[in-house]
Amino acid sequence: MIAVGTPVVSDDTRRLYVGAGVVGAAAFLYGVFLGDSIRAWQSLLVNFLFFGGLAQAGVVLSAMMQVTSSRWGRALKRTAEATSAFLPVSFVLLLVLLAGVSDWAPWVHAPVEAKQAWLNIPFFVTRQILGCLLLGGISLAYVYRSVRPDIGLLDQSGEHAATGFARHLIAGWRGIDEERETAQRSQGRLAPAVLIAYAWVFTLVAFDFFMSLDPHWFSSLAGGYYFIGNLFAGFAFLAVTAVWARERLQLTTYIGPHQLHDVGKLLFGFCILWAYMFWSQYLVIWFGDLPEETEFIAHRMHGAWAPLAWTVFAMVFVIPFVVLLSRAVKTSPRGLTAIACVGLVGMWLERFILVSPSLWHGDGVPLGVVELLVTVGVLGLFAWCFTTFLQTFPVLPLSDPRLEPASAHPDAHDVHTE
Amino acid sequence: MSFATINDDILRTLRPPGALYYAGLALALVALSIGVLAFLYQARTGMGVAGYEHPILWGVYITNFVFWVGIAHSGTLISAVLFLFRATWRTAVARAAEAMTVIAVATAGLFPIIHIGRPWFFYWLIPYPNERGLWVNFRSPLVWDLFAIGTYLTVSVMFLYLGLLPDIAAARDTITDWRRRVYRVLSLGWLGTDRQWRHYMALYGFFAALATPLVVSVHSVVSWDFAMSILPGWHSTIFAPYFVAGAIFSGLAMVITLLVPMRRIFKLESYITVHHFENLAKLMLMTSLIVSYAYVVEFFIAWYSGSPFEQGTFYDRMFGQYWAYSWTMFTCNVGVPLLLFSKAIRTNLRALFVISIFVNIGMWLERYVIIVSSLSHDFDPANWSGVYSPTWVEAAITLGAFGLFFTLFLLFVKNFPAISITEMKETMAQSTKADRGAWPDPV
Repeated sequence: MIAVGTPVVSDDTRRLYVGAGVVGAAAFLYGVFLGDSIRAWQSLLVNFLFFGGLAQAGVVLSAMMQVTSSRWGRALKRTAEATSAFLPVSFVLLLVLLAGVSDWAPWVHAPVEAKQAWLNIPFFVTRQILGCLLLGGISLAYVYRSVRPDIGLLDQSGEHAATGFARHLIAGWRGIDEERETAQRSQGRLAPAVLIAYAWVFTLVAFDFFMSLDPHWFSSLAGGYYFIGNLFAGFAFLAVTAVWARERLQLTTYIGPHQLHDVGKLLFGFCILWAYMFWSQYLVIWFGDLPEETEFIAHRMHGAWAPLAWTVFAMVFVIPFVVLLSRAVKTSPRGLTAIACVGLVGMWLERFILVSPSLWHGDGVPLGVVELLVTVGVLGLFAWCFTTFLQTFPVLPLSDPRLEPASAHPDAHDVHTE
Repeated sequence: MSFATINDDILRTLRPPGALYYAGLALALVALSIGVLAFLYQARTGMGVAGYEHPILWGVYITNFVFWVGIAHSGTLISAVLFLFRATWRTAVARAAEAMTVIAVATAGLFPIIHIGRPWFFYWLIPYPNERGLWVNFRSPLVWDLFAIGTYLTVSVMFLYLGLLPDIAAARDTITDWRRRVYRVLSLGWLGTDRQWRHYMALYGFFAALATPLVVSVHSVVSWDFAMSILPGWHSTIFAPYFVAGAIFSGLAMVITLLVPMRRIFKLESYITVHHFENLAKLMLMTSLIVSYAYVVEFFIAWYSGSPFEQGTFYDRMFGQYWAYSWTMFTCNVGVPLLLFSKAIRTNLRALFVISIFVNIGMWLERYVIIVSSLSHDFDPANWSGVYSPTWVEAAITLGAFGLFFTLFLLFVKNFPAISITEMKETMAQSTKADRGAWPDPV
């Protein structure tokens, strides 16, 4: 593995990330104050949902590994957790969105009388802040419990002395044996809490940031659909980073074709699960044919939005489903990266089509320079946080008792696949 | 436990069992007989004895149907999904769970027949071109049901049988009584050659992959029997995943209900350990949390929708005529399973057995509440009389279904290996091979 403190990307690249962030912020501010403000707001909203979701999904995937005591992907645990570095930034984005809620939320200017007890600014702002603080807090506590013994282990063995922020994280170090046990125990407690809080808080996010944008529409599966889609994006990102980490972070001993195969299978599974969540809503709404329910879908499947709607369906379900059936693709680093990228872009567009048609009342699809620049900006910040995390902390969960080299993967001696 | 003793230990269940077994079987047969008599009475007299009255024309029989289809699901989850996830602990419980699946689907399949007025015409439901000029309405979810459950039963039977093949052969080579002939035919000439094993393994993986989507699809289709309507309390987009989670939840409870006594009767303590039960309990806790999530979200959306009919139905569910059923259901499905957060309770088999009974009751009531409370509170206030209450005939037939289920299960475990000998050995071989301690500390 790569030594702690080694840059995982060049300094120039990291400057580029910051630069992108600045450009994105400038584009957003220009849009809000001088341009078409609703387009700036919806760009920020979509990117908050997508990248904030990705940041949280990483922690959730790690928590899933912990809850299920799985062995296959332990080497990917840290790369998954690395997205959590973006959580504080996404909280800032949330605050910006909440500050401008009267500029973008349709129910502020056209209130729905029956729903005012739920859709009013003070309650909306309070529940979002509390919900996100709760989820983010548990998630960061979990990540802290995960990285702490690894930093300490390297520090203790003299391989890499912890400095700066990492030093703070190992305050009160009590020796590796005791720390390892504490870390496992508290991760075992925090992981289910992460998963439960994730489902509830992301349901709240879905209800408030996409369902309520069309205040007359409702669907009881909106929350479930939303957080499952987010996990699909999480697995796609994990696939991309697994391939990248293998080469860049010198983890070939730990991440072999079997690990990639497993990530590919899970990506395949979540692609189907997303389609199932979509279909469960679509079929019920179509068959029931009640105007207050069908309007949301009809608006997106007819007229200017139709091509985009079909593109999303193809990129998130049809193409990944067909392509990921092949074992060769799942085990090939390039193939897996390519299809995961298709899924990621598809998921970004899906978040866009959940949000934008409810806010935008002009002609056509508002996908232009503003949206592009804000997206590039948030992407830059996300990449900066992600790489910072990986060069600050050990890139493998060294102290994890379930960490194994790629050669210990059960498929390496499994009679079923021979 | 060693390679040498596995065969003997597991095949011991095929030898004459003790008095406890026969007592259980007798009890189950009595229950079954009561159900059969009640059904004959209903067939002779007419559906009036079932307490159906407008607008409640679905009642206990449909509740039973949904309940038993649901019970089936955890078997497939354990045998197929956990197989794909390489969760090797499933080995000890998979066979019993799979058998439970097949038996539960078969039990469920009887209820649409019991439910229709002229059960001797049940084959009219089968969609095939015929000379009577009947043609099925493919837009009816009831027809989707027939396809979904027919497929499920077929695949489950084949999957169970496939897994049994090598074990039947082992029984053939051990058992000397009259069943030997049956095993000889059923083992299809299994010799355990290299070629046979290779084909067996490939086919097993294939069936696991084929059965996995069925875990999700079957109860989704069952949920759409309700959700396709626009009846408040039924028309809800969350129904499909919510029903699937509920099905697995109730099925896991039933697996625990069955395995705790079975382990005792056949002395399988060294094969089905507390660790296995703990894992089942964890899965049950997870599905309970999903079901609880669905309850809360349903109530929230009913309120949020702003529709007075939705709100009225859900208010009625909590405080109307059927409130006692609803609150018992919440207690059993949401409250009691929370105890499983405690490791001490999860690993205490008595406590687990009691909790599993609570969940069985709660999940049966859930279906009853969904069906009856929604039907009794539709769009027409004149219908809000809530006249329905189960009659003794319905109760007797429900009892009979439990009798049938337990009879078939007891006969199965007595005549076929209740734990997969093959997979038990395979798991042992793998854990010997992958010696985890051999790898040095990565630092």
